[in-house]
Amino acid sequence: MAAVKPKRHGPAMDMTAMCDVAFLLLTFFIMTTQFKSQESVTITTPSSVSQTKVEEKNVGTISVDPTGKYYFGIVDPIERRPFIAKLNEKYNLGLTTTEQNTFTKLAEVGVSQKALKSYLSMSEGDRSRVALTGIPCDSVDTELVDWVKVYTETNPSGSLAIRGDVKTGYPFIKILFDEFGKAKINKFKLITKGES
Amino acid sequence: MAEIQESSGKGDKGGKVRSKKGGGKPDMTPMVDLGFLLITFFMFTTTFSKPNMMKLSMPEKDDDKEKQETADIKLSNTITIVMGKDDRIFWYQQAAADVKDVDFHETDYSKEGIRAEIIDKKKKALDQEKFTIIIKPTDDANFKNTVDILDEMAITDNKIYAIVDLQQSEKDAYAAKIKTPKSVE
Repeated sequence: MAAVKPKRHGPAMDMTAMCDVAFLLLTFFIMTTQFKSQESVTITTPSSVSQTKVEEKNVGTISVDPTGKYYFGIVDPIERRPFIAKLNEKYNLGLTTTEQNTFTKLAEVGVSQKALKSYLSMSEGDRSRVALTGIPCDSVDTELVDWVKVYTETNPSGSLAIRGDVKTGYPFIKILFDEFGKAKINKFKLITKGES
Repeated sequence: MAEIQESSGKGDKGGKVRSKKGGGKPDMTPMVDLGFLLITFFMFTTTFSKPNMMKLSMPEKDDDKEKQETADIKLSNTITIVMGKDDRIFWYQQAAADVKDVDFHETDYSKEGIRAEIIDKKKKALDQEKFTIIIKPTDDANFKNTVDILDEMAITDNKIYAIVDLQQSEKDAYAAKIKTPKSVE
């Protein structure tokens, strides 16, 4: 007599626990996530041993790409709205509400005030393709200093961070130090990434 | 049917053959798939590694000159670091006005290079509390070099340092020195 064979099932795993873990992690990521704002320039920051983290608010960043173009951005999206409203009012840029809304979605901008309106009214695709001129900052035209001044007016506790690329030449950084020194801004933060 | 239905279900009408219920367990696999898909999405969109920052205070422009004139610094209490092209780096301990290219000592950015020099010179300094490091990045230096040197300041725990522009004598010395091939001493 043949032994009674237990009925064979396919190897079925109990997925409930796995499902629990998956959704637990999912909840964690949903809670902690902060969406990246659209970045217009890729910058590889040098590494340092510094342990201080960049604050999430009250920081305006100046990005300097390897070719020496300057970009200005505000880390906290909430601070961008009063900033662009003030900039618009002060320099009569004639930005519409829609264009100002567009600005609040951008991590940084790299066009001069004159070109800002047409830049913001572009479609997203065009904006990523257009060649950016950078915000002028040299001994003749120190528009970047104006941007920062407007930022410190809208947010008095705001501070200034410099985000330079590994290959950015020192002269471009020196201009920043010089021009901001003239405007009595002497405290900077240099953004780096952690030493790995 | 021969066997006795243990769980005498109420709905067992008409004695139909029913497939055995597995405790009413739904198949969780698609749900897990979905869960992990969303996790992946959020993991990629989230900004995880927050950048670090280092604080840097530049001297104020106005009283810059006064300070330079009044500060009476012994040469052995200072070291001047000149950062040049292609990640080359030099140091010297002299008055900036009469420095020559032969006074430039070449080293590198490694732990045994500039860091060892700074620590060594600090030990030999007359007043270690006031040991001053003058950082002079040339126009050929890049942002990484600047950050690296500021990093060395943090590592060697030096509080007194300044980023200063090169004087003409130093520019000449540097121009002559940079032409020579790299030779780390």
